[in-house]
Parts: sequence; C-alpha cells; structure tokens
Amino acid sequence: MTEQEIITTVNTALAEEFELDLDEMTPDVSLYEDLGLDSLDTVDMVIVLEGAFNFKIREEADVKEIRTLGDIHAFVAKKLAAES
Amino acid sequence: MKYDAVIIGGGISGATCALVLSHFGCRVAVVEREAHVTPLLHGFVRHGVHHDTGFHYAGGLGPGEILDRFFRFLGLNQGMELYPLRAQGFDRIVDQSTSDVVEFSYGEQSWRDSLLAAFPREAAAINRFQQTVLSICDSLPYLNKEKTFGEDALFANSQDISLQAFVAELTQDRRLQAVLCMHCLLHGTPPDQIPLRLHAAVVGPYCRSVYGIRGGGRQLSQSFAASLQQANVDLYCGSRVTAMSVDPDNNITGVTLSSGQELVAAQVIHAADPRLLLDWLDEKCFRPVYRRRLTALQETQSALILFGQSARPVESLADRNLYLADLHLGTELFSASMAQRPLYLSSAGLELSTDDGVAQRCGIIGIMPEDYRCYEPWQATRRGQRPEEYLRFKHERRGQMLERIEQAAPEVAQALQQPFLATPLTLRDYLHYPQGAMYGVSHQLARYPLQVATRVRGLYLSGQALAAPGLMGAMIGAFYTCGTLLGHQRVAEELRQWQ
Repeated sequence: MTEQEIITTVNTALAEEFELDLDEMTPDVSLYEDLGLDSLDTVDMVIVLEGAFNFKIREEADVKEIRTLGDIHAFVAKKLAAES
Repeated sequence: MKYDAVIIGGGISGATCALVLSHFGCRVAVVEREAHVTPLLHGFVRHGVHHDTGFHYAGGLGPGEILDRFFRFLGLNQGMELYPLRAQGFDRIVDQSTSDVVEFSYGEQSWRDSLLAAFPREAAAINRFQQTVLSICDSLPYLNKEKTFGEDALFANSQDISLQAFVAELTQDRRLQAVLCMHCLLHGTPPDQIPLRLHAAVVGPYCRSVYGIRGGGRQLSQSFAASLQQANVDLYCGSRVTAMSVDPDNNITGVTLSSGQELVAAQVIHAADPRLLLDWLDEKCFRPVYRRRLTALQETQSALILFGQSARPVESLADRNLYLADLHLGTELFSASMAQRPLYLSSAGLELSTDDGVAQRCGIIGIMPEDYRCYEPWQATRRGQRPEEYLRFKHERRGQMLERIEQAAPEVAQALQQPFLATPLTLRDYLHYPQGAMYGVSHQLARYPLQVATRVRGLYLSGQALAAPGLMGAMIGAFYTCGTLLGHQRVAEELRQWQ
C-alpha cells in the first residue's frame, strides 16, 4: 500500500465513522483541538483503523502518543511495514 | 420532577448506583420496567408458591471480601444471614459419560486438591490455572481492594486470549478442559468467546470462599428495597423510558417515561441493555462508529430454567450444587446437544401459602443454557398467550431435562415435585433482553469493552455490560460508574471504612 493509499484509506474511514469533513483533513490537523475528538474517542478510532486495515492494534503506548492526523498515517504505515 | 441523577434499570447495578449516589448526597430516581426493583432476585409467585430465581451462591462474600464490603457499605447486610457452602465439594460435577464425580472446593489448597483427586496426573495444569486466575483477580480494580478504576489498561481485553485457548494450552485432557470451563455458566459466554481475564474475574473469588444467603435472592431483593427506601430514592417501578432529552450542546437534560412524565436530571445512568440508547436518542448524538458498536453487541446465553419443589431437603443439594455434563466434550460443552450440555442443579428458596400461614418447603432449580433461536417461531407471542405448538415443544424440553436428571442425579429426580419450565421466551419477557439473555450483553474477546462515559455529556453506562456479569460484576460496574461521576478516589476512600 502506497503512502497516498494509506492516507486516503485513513481519512475516508475516519470521515465516515466520525462524521468529519474530508476537506479539513490535512496531516497537520490536531485530532483533539481541530477535529473535536476527545479521549473517549480513542477506542472508537482504534476500532475504525482495525476495520479499515484488517489488523489488530495492540500498541497502546503508541496510540496514546497520537496527536495529529499525520501521526495516524505514520502509525499505520509503520504497522503495515512491520507486518509485511 | 427534578433529580441530581436518574438511573434507568432497577436491577442490581442500577440499585447499587442509586445507593452509592445517595450516600454521597445526590437526589436520585430509579426507573424500572417491572413492578419491583431487582426483579430477577425478587423471584415470582405461581399457583400460590413463591419461587426464588436469581441468586444461588457467590464468591467474594467472606468477611472483608469485595461483596461483603459492598453489602456493608450499602447497608444490605442488615437482617441478612450468610452461610458458607460446604468447603469440600461446594460444586460437584457428575460426568454423564462415566458417572465419575469431580469436586470443586474452596480455600486455595483445597481447590487444587479436589481437582487433583479427579485428575492426579494434571497437577501442573491445575496449579497454573489457579495461579493465573488468582493473579488476574488480584490485579483488577475492587477485586484487589488497593486498586480502583482509572489505572486499568485500555487494551487489556484485546491483548487477552480466550478461556478455550488458555485451557487448551494447559492440558490435553478434554475432561479437565471441560471442568475448567464449567463455570462459564456463571457468566453466560462460551469458552471460545470469553476473554480469560473476564472469566478469571468471575470465577477466581470462588477459589477462596463461597457463601449463600438465607432466604436467597428474595432476601437480597428485600435488602435492596429496604436500603433504597432508607436512602429516600424515588422508585418509578412499572415505568418505561420512552425518550431522553438532550440540549443542542449534547448535554443530557432528562428522560421521558411511558406515562408522559418527565424526569429532569443533568446526569443519567443507563443500567439496562445499552442498545436501548439507540431507540431513545437522536442519531446525531453518537458517532456512526459508536452506534455500530452498540448494534453489534451480542447477548449472553439464554437458558431453560426448571422450577420444582420437594417435601424435604435433598442431600446432594444441601449447601452445595450439582452440575451434570458430558465431560469428554471438552471445551465444546456449551454448543453440545440438549442431552450433553451442562445442567446446573441447586436448592432454591420457596414459600407456600397455606391456611395456617406460610409453610416452608424446599425449592429445586435446574438451569441449562439454551439457544434462543429454537424459540424464534414463537417470538411474537407474549407470556400467557403462547400457542399450542410452543407448549408442546416446551413440554418435550421439560421431559428431556427431567430424563437427564433421572439418569445422572436420581435422588434429585425422586424428590422433585411439580416441575415446570421457563424458556428463553419467558426470560426475554421478564428480563427484557430481546434474545432472553441470562446475563445481559456478552463480553467477548473480539470486542473492546464499553466505557462509562458517552458522547452525550452527563449520560453514563453501568450494568453487567460494563465491568462483568453476575451479582459481583453488576456491583463492580456500579461502583465504576459512580466513581466516574464522583471521583474514583472519593468512592474508594469511603468504601475503605468497611474493610
């Protein structure tokens, strides 16, 4: 999966499941300050990513470090690279 | 009417939430669909006989243990007499294929010794099972009195394995595998789906002590009712919630009852089936992913419950219980045929009204997991109006259950009088889970646990769906929820006085 494909997949899945506006979804936006997510949404975000990429996320510490949309893209890219 | 908090569902969890919040000075209301709070514990009257239903025995009720502290904190112990079950063989499993008996005892050493007596070559597996289960228990909030919620890992469940996978790792002996999975009956999720952590939390306390309550579930139900009255909690029994009100900023403002009455509150605790939220709230209150999570929740197993009575106590059910099962099925036990799957037998409270007042007889109860799908042809029918075909099917099931009891526990069969059956449809109509679940929605390995808080500010979840099923799970769930509202440390400090 190319970097662009990862970005598109992440953004589309999150936009759909969190009812976000795709146009606002640039890599530097903060999930919490800009997109209005909060700590309650962490589990839901994990569930969306697991569904979109068909993997299990067990890296709790890494997930807690995620702040921006770009962090998610990087997290997914790293995970896919580790799996292949 | 205006309250600090409205609690939906007057089961054990809802009633516990109400008592804890009142203790901290909140003005609380409880909405319950049935005519009494804790309806499952309350039992029912049929042909002038009161049958006890919901509570048979529990771990964690010993002095200073978790349920003992909860009970004393909530005032439930007043007028309540606890009695220990037999230390040796509080649970006995009759293996139908061999007629061998396997015993569970309590006290950590006795627990191991009893199983070792039946499986002399399996010491390593038995020791490791107990060690693992107890170390999980001792790491969990409330089960370990030093720990409260808030420190637990978000991903704990997802990193877990199933009970089935765990016992398969421990031993090749299918009969021992079945024995170690038998207590899935206490939470209603089969071994291939239940996370080991959850199973351990439910069964672990039974390694240390096992108590019953004189007067059974009915006594516990009366204690809850008395404590709620003393705490000035307003009860809206026989009422259903039809809608929740939410302001434009997604803050909860109250609930509407079927009578049209509105209860105003800035905090609402939902301690019934979590899926009902989708009926009561506008779509936009939750994100699509959360709505999907609620929709995907599955129920715990339903059951056939046989109620009967006897003129005198049955020795094999005196301060102990009996499980009948075909142990060679291993962990497949719960998907087995009607003739092979686990059947739990216990004595139960029973009261007969006579001309001279109330006469005590002995109740006998038999519980067996049953697939709700067998009853789908009649799911449009309600209690008291079932068609002939259903009654025939039920009669057949009753006959099959009695036949098993006759074969594997003849002394129980001989004593058993006037047995009648409750089916998954009965359970559905009384407990209000659409598929007749015994323990609410299921905690499954593949799913992330629900959180207390929701996106609707002021709306919280509680109940068996939250922490774990059963009496202990429902009460821990309630403390978890109240801790989220009031501060976990604050609740824990108050509870510490009852150690």
